[in-house]
Amino acid sequence: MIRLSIFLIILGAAVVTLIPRVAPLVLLSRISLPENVVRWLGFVPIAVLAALLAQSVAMPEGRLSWPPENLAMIAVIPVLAIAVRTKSLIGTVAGGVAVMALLRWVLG
Amino acid sequence: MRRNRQQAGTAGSPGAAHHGACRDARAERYIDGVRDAVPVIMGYTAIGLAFGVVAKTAGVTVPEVALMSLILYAGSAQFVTVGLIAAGVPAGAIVVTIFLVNVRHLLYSAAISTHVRHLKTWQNALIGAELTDETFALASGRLGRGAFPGAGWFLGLNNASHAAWILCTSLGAVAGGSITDTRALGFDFALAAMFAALLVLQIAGRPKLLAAVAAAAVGGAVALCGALILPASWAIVTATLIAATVGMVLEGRAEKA
Repeated sequence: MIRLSIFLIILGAAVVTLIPRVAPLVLLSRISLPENVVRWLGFVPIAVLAALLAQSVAMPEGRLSWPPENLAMIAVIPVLAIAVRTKSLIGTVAGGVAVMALLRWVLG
Repeated sequence: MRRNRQQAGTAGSPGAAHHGACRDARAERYIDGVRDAVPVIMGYTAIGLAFGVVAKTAGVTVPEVALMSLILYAGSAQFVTVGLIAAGVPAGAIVVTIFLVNVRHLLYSAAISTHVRHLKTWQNALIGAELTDETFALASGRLGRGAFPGAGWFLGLNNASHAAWILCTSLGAVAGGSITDTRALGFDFALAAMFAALLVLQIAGRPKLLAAVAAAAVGGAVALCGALILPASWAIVTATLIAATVGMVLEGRAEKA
Protein backbone atom coordinates (compact mmCIF):
# COMPACT_ATOMS: atom_id res chain seq x y z
CA MET A 1 0.00 0.00 0.00
CA ILE A 2 1.21 3.50 -0.83
CA ARG A 3 -0.14 6.30 1.36
CA LEU A 4 -0.95 9.55 -0.47
CA SER A 5 1.11 11.71 1.92
CA ILE A 6 4.17 9.45 1.47
CA PHE A 7 3.62 9.36 -2.30
CA LEU A 8 3.70 13.17 -2.44
CA ILE A 9 6.87 13.34 -0.34
CA ILE A 10 8.61 10.80 -2.57
CA LEU A 11 7.43 12.58 -5.73
CA GLY A 12 8.61 15.97 -4.47
CA ALA A 13 11.98 14.55 -3.40
CA ALA A 14 12.34 12.82 -6.78
CA VAL A 15 11.68 16.05 -8.71
CA VAL A 16 14.16 18.16 -6.72
CA THR A 17 16.73 15.38 -7.18
CA LEU A 18 16.11 15.04 -10.92
CA ILE A 19 16.72 18.74 -11.63
CA PRO A 20 20.38 18.95 -10.48
CA ARG A 21 21.02 15.57 -12.14
CA VAL A 22 19.72 16.54 -15.56
CA ALA A 23 20.02 20.34 -15.93
CA PRO A 24 23.82 20.70 -16.28
CA LEU A 25 24.05 17.72 -18.64
CA VAL A 26 21.38 19.20 -20.89
CA LEU A 27 22.49 22.86 -20.72
CA LEU A 28 26.30 22.76 -20.43
CA SER A 29 26.72 20.15 -23.16
CA ARG A 30 25.31 22.69 -25.64
CA ILE A 31 27.75 25.55 -25.00
CA SER A 32 31.54 25.55 -25.27
CA LEU A 33 33.29 26.14 -21.95
CA PRO A 34 36.57 28.01 -21.31
CA GLU A 35 39.68 25.81 -20.99
CA ASN A 36 40.04 26.48 -17.25
CA VAL A 37 36.45 25.47 -16.57
CA VAL A 38 36.94 22.22 -18.49
CA ARG A 39 40.12 21.56 -16.49
CA TRP A 40 38.25 22.32 -13.26
CA LEU A 41 35.44 19.96 -14.22
CA GLY A 42 38.09 17.37 -15.12
CA PHE A 43 39.24 17.49 -11.49
CA VAL A 44 35.74 16.98 -10.12
CA PRO A 45 35.98 13.16 -10.24
CA ILE A 46 39.27 13.12 -8.28
CA ALA A 47 37.88 15.61 -5.77
CA VAL A 48 34.59 13.71 -5.33
CA LEU A 49 36.27 10.30 -5.15
CA ALA A 50 38.74 11.49 -2.52
CA ALA A 51 35.88 12.98 -0.49
CA LEU A 52 33.66 9.90 -0.81
CA LEU A 53 36.56 7.55 -0.02
CA ALA A 54 37.61 9.57 3.03
CA GLN A 55 34.07 9.60 4.41
CA SER A 56 33.29 5.96 3.67
CA VAL A 57 36.55 4.83 5.27
CA ALA A 58 36.71 7.17 8.28
CA MET A 59 33.00 7.39 9.04
CA PRO A 60 31.33 4.21 7.72
CA GLU A 61 28.46 4.55 10.21
CA GLY A 62 28.03 8.27 9.55
CA ARG A 63 30.35 9.43 12.32
CA LEU A 64 34.12 9.33 12.77
CA SER A 65 35.32 6.01 14.24
CA TRP A 66 38.65 4.25 14.71
CA PRO A 67 39.93 0.67 14.67
CA PRO A 68 39.23 -1.87 16.06
CA GLU A 69 35.60 -0.74 15.76
CA ASN A 70 36.19 0.65 12.29
CA LEU A 71 37.87 -2.04 10.17
CA ALA A 72 37.48 -0.04 6.94
CA MET A 73 40.34 2.18 8.09
CA ILE A 74 42.62 -0.87 8.18
CA ALA A 75 41.27 -2.49 5.01
CA VAL A 76 41.81 0.64 2.92
CA ILE A 77 45.61 0.30 3.19
CA PRO A 78 45.98 -3.05 1.35
CA VAL A 79 43.17 -1.98 -1.00
CA LEU A 80 45.04 1.17 -2.09
CA ALA A 81 48.15 -0.97 -2.58
CA ILE A 82 46.19 -3.42 -4.75
CA ALA A 83 44.77 -0.51 -6.77
CA VAL A 84 48.19 1.07 -7.36
CA ARG A 85 49.77 -2.29 -8.20
CA THR A 86 47.09 -3.76 -10.47
CA LYS A 87 45.23 -0.65 -11.77
CA SER A 88 42.28 -3.04 -11.94
CA LEU A 89 38.84 -1.89 -10.77
CA ILE A 90 37.19 -5.27 -10.42
CA GLY A 91 40.35 -6.81 -8.94
CA THR A 92 40.52 -4.08 -6.31
CA VAL A 93 36.83 -4.40 -5.42
CA ALA A 94 37.10 -8.19 -5.14
CA GLY A 95 40.30 -7.81 -3.11
CA GLY A 96 38.67 -5.20 -0.86
CA VAL A 97 35.64 -7.38 -0.13
CA ALA A 98 37.93 -10.35 0.61
CA VAL A 99 40.18 -8.27 2.89
CA MET A 100 37.17 -6.99 4.81
CA ALA A 101 35.63 -10.46 5.17
CA LEU A 102 39.00 -11.77 6.36
CA LEU A 103 39.43 -8.93 8.88
CA ARG A 104 35.96 -9.60 10.32
CA TRP A 105 36.64 -13.33 10.46
CA VAL A 106 39.99 -12.89 12.21
CA LEU A 107 39.09 -10.01 14.52
CA GLY A 108 35.31 -10.35 14.83
CA MET B 1 7.83 -7.01 -30.46
CA ARG B 2 9.55 -3.83 -31.52
CA ARG B 3 12.56 -5.72 -32.69
CA ASN B 4 10.43 -7.97 -34.88
CA ARG B 5 8.62 -5.05 -36.43
CA GLN B 6 11.89 -3.30 -37.21
CA GLN B 7 13.28 -6.42 -38.76
CA ALA B 8 10.17 -6.90 -40.87
CA GLY B 9 10.35 -3.27 -41.96
CA THR B 10 13.95 -3.38 -43.09
CA ALA B 11 14.21 -6.93 -44.37
CA GLY B 12 15.17 -7.03 -48.01
CA SER B 13 16.07 -3.34 -48.19
CA PRO B 14 19.70 -2.49 -49.00
CA GLY B 15 20.19 -0.97 -45.55
CA ALA B 16 19.00 -4.03 -43.68
CA ALA B 17 22.40 -5.56 -43.01
CA HIS B 18 23.83 -2.22 -41.94
CA HIS B 19 20.87 -1.61 -39.61
CA GLY B 20 21.37 -4.99 -38.02
CA ALA B 21 25.07 -4.30 -37.46
CA CYS B 22 24.30 -0.95 -35.83
CA ARG B 23 21.80 -2.52 -33.53
CA ASP B 24 24.20 -5.31 -32.60
CA ALA B 25 26.95 -2.79 -31.79
CA ARG B 26 24.51 -0.83 -29.68
CA ALA B 27 23.34 -3.94 -27.84
CA GLU B 28 26.97 -4.88 -27.28
CA ARG B 29 27.75 -1.48 -25.73
CA TYR B 30 24.68 -1.79 -23.53
CA ILE B 31 25.82 -5.21 -22.32
CA ASP B 32 29.33 -3.81 -21.72
CA GLY B 33 27.70 -1.16 -19.52
CA VAL B 34 25.76 -3.80 -17.60
CA ARG B 35 28.95 -5.82 -17.10
CA ASP B 36 30.90 -2.75 -15.92
CA ALA B 37 28.19 -2.10 -13.32
CA VAL B 38 29.20 -5.16 -11.28
CA PRO B 39 31.19 -3.26 -8.59
CA VAL B 40 28.30 -0.82 -8.14
CA ILE B 41 25.82 -3.70 -7.91
CA MET B 42 27.91 -5.39 -5.21
CA GLY B 43 27.88 -2.21 -3.15
CA TYR B 44 24.18 -1.60 -3.75
CA THR B 45 23.38 -5.11 -2.59
CA ALA B 46 24.76 -4.39 0.87
CA ILE B 47 23.43 -0.83 1.21
CA GLY B 48 20.12 -1.63 -0.51
CA LEU B 49 19.28 -4.54 1.79
CA ALA B 50 20.23 -2.39 4.78
CA PHE B 51 18.05 0.47 3.55
CA GLY B 52 15.07 -1.84 3.03
CA VAL B 53 15.36 -3.16 6.57
CA VAL B 54 15.69 0.34 8.04
CA ALA B 55 12.75 1.67 6.02
CA LYS B 56 10.50 -1.22 7.02
CA THR B 57 11.47 -0.76 10.66
CA ALA B 58 10.60 2.95 10.37
CA GLY B 59 7.09 2.04 9.19
CA VAL B 60 7.51 2.57 5.44
CA THR B 61 5.72 -0.11 3.37
CA VAL B 62 7.31 -2.35 0.73
CA PRO B 63 5.57 -0.62 -2.24
CA GLU B 64 6.66 2.76 -0.85
CA VAL B 65 10.26 1.52 -0.66
CA ALA B 66 10.06 0.25 -4.25
CA LEU B 67 8.56 3.55 -5.46
CA MET B 68 11.24 5.53 -3.64
CA SER B 69 14.00 3.42 -5.19
CA LEU B 70 12.36 3.74 -8.61
CA ILE B 71 11.86 7.52 -8.82
CA LEU B 72 14.11 9.02 -6.11
CA TYR B 73 17.01 6.55 -6.51
CA ALA B 74 19.57 8.10 -4.19
CA GLY B 75 21.08 6.14 -1.32
CA SER B 76 21.81 8.72 1.33
CA ALA B 77 18.75 10.79 0.42
CA GLN B 78 16.50 7.75 0.88
CA PHE B 79 17.91 7.08 4.35
CA VAL B 80 17.34 10.75 5.22
CA THR B 81 13.79 10.70 3.80
CA VAL B 82 12.83 7.66 5.85
CA GLY B 83 14.34 9.20 8.97
CA LEU B 84 12.40 12.42 8.47
CA ILE B 85 9.14 10.60 7.71
CA ALA B 86 9.57 8.55 10.89
CA ALA B 87 10.26 11.75 12.84
CA GLY B 88 7.02 13.28 11.52
CA VAL B 89 8.71 16.19 9.73
CA PRO B 90 6.34 18.11 7.37
CA ALA B 91 6.45 17.19 3.67
CA GLY B 92 7.74 20.59 2.49
CA ALA B 93 10.68 20.50 4.89
CA ILE B 94 11.55 16.96 3.76
CA VAL B 95 11.59 17.98 0.10
CA VAL B 96 13.80 21.01 0.79
CA THR B 97 16.19 18.85 2.83
CA ILE B 98 16.42 16.26 0.04
CA PHE B 99 17.19 19.01 -2.45
CA LEU B 100 20.08 20.17 -0.24
CA VAL B 101 21.31 16.58 0.22
CA ASN B 102 21.28 15.97 -3.55
CA VAL B 103 22.46 19.31 -4.89
CA ARG B 104 25.96 17.80 -5.31
CA HIS B 105 24.65 16.03 -8.41
CA LEU B 106 24.98 19.42 -10.15
CA LEU B 107 28.75 18.88 -10.06
CA TYR B 108 28.56 15.30 -11.35
CA SER B 109 26.21 16.30 -14.15
CA ALA B 110 28.42 19.26 -15.13
CA ALA B 111 31.55 17.10 -15.13
CA ILE B 112 29.93 14.45 -17.36
CA SER B 113 28.56 17.13 -19.71
CA THR B 114 32.03 17.86 -21.15
CA HIS B 115 32.17 14.27 -22.50
CA VAL B 116 28.73 14.04 -24.10
CA ARG B 117 28.53 17.17 -26.23
CA HIS B 118 27.98 15.07 -29.35
CA LEU B 119 24.92 13.27 -27.97
CA LYS B 120 21.30 14.34 -28.40
CA THR B 121 19.63 16.35 -25.63
CA TRP B 122 17.25 13.54 -24.68
CA GLN B 123 20.16 11.11 -24.43
CA ASN B 124 21.96 13.47 -22.04
CA ALA B 125 18.78 13.89 -20.00
CA LEU B 126 18.46 10.12 -19.78
CA ILE B 127 22.10 9.74 -18.68
CA GLY B 128 21.60 12.41 -16.01
CA ALA B 129 18.35 11.00 -14.66
CA GLU B 130 20.09 7.94 -13.20
CA LEU B 131 23.29 9.63 -12.02
CA THR B 132 24.42 8.65 -8.51
CA ASP B 133 27.65 9.01 -6.53
CA GLU B 134 28.61 5.51 -7.56
CA THR B 135 27.61 5.53 -11.24
CA PHE B 136 29.27 8.94 -11.65
CA ALA B 137 32.45 7.60 -10.06
CA LEU B 138 32.44 4.56 -12.30
CA ALA B 139 31.58 6.47 -15.48
CA SER B 140 34.34 9.05 -14.77
CA GLY B 141 36.82 6.19 -14.65
CA ARG B 142 35.67 4.91 -18.04
CA LEU B 143 35.46 8.40 -19.60
CA GLY B 144 38.94 9.23 -18.35
CA ARG B 145 40.60 6.60 -20.51
CA GLY B 146 40.25 6.52 -24.25
CA ALA B 147 37.27 6.57 -26.57
CA PHE B 148 33.75 7.51 -25.50
CA PRO B 149 31.98 4.26 -24.62
CA GLY B 150 28.66 5.33 -26.18
CA ALA B 151 25.27 6.36 -24.86
CA GLY B 152 24.28 2.67 -24.84
CA TRP B 153 27.11 1.88 -22.41
CA PHE B 154 25.87 4.60 -20.07
CA LEU B 155 22.33 3.29 -20.28
CA GLY B 156 23.48 -0.26 -19.53
CA LEU B 157 25.49 0.89 -16.51
CA ASN B 158 22.64 3.08 -15.24
CA ASN B 159 19.83 0.59 -15.79
CA ALA B 160 21.69 -2.34 -14.24
CA SER B 161 22.70 -0.31 -11.17
CA HIS B 162 19.20 1.12 -10.78
CA ALA B 163 17.56 -2.30 -11.18
CA ALA B 164 19.87 -3.77 -8.54
CA TRP B 165 19.00 -0.89 -6.21
CA ILE B 166 15.23 -1.34 -6.64
CA LEU B 167 15.51 -5.10 -6.21
CA CYS B 168 17.76 -5.06 -3.13
CA THR B 169 15.93 -2.29 -1.28
CA SER B 170 12.61 -4.05 -1.91
CA LEU B 171 14.05 -7.40 -0.81
CA GLY B 172 15.39 -5.76 2.33
CA ALA B 173 11.96 -4.31 3.10
CA VAL B 174 10.23 -7.65 2.46
CA ALA B 175 12.69 -9.51 4.67
CA GLY B 176 12.55 -6.79 7.34
CA GLY B 177 14.38 -7.80 10.46
CA SER B 178 14.91 -11.40 9.35
CA ILE B 179 18.01 -10.49 7.32
CA THR B 180 20.88 -10.78 9.71
CA ASP B 181 24.06 -9.38 8.27
CA THR B 182 25.66 -8.96 4.85
CA ARG B 183 28.64 -7.40 6.62
CA ALA B 184 30.25 -10.73 7.41
CA LEU B 185 30.76 -11.20 3.65
CA GLY B 186 32.56 -7.85 3.38
CA PHE B 187 30.10 -6.51 0.77
CA ASP B 188 29.64 -3.30 2.75
CA PHE B 189 33.23 -2.45 1.83
CA ALA B 190 32.69 -2.89 -1.94
CA LEU B 191 31.88 0.77 -2.62
CA ALA B 192 34.79 2.10 -0.55
CA ALA B 193 37.10 -0.26 -2.46
CA MET B 194 35.57 0.95 -5.72
CA PHE B 195 36.14 4.59 -4.76
CA ALA B 196 39.77 3.75 -3.88
CA ALA B 197 40.40 1.98 -7.20
CA LEU B 198 38.74 4.71 -9.26
CA LEU B 199 40.64 7.41 -7.37
CA VAL B 200 43.96 5.71 -8.14
CA LEU B 201 42.98 5.30 -11.81
CA GLN B 202 41.87 8.94 -12.07
CA ILE B 203 45.08 10.21 -10.50
CA ALA B 204 47.15 8.03 -12.83
CA GLY B 205 45.25 9.50 -15.79
CA ARG B 206 46.10 13.16 -15.07
CA PRO B 207 49.10 14.72 -16.83
CA LYS B 208 50.65 16.05 -13.59
CA LEU B 209 50.80 13.41 -10.85
CA LEU B 210 51.66 15.77 -8.01
CA ALA B 211 48.78 18.17 -8.74
CA ALA B 212 46.36 15.23 -8.80
CA VAL B 213 47.66 13.75 -5.53
CA ALA B 214 47.48 17.17 -3.87
CA ALA B 215 43.90 17.67 -5.04
CA ALA B 216 42.94 14.23 -3.69
CA ALA B 217 44.60 14.89 -0.32
CA VAL B 218 42.82 18.22 0.00
CA GLY B 219 39.50 16.64 -1.02
CA GLY B 220 39.79 13.88 1.56
CA ALA B 221 40.86 16.24 4.34
CA VAL B 222 38.11 18.79 3.68
CA ALA B 223 35.47 16.03 3.42
CA LEU B 224 36.40 14.80 6.93
CA CYS B 225 36.95 18.16 8.61
CA GLY B 226 33.84 19.54 6.90
CA ALA B 227 31.75 16.63 8.18
CA LEU B 228 32.47 17.77 11.74
CA ILE B 229 30.52 21.00 11.18
CA LEU B 230 28.37 20.33 8.08
CA PRO B 231 26.01 17.54 6.98
CA ALA B 232 28.10 14.87 5.20
CA SER B 233 26.72 15.66 1.74
CA TRP B 234 27.64 19.35 2.10
CA ALA B 235 31.10 18.39 3.25
CA ILE B 236 31.39 16.52 -0.08
CA VAL B 237 30.27 19.60 -2.02
CA THR B 238 32.72 21.84 -0.14
CA ALA B 239 35.56 19.35 -0.55
CA THR B 240 34.84 19.05 -4.28
CA LEU B 241 34.78 22.81 -4.88
CA ILE B 242 38.05 23.36 -3.02
CA ALA B 243 39.92 20.27 -4.25
CA ALA B 244 38.96 20.75 -7.91
CA THR B 245 40.18 24.36 -7.68
CA VAL B 246 43.47 23.22 -6.11
CA GLY B 247 43.90 20.66 -8.89
CA MET B 248 43.09 23.12 -11.65
CA VAL B 249 45.51 25.77 -10.34
CA LEU B 250 48.41 23.36 -9.63
CA GLU B 251 48.08 21.49 -12.91
CA GLY B 252 47.76 24.73 -14.89
CA ARG B 253 50.92 26.07 -13.25
CA ALA B 254 52.86 22.82 -13.71
CA GLU B 255 51.98 22.74 -17.41
CA LYS B 256 53.10 26.34 -17.92
CA ALA B 257 56.36 25.80 -16.03
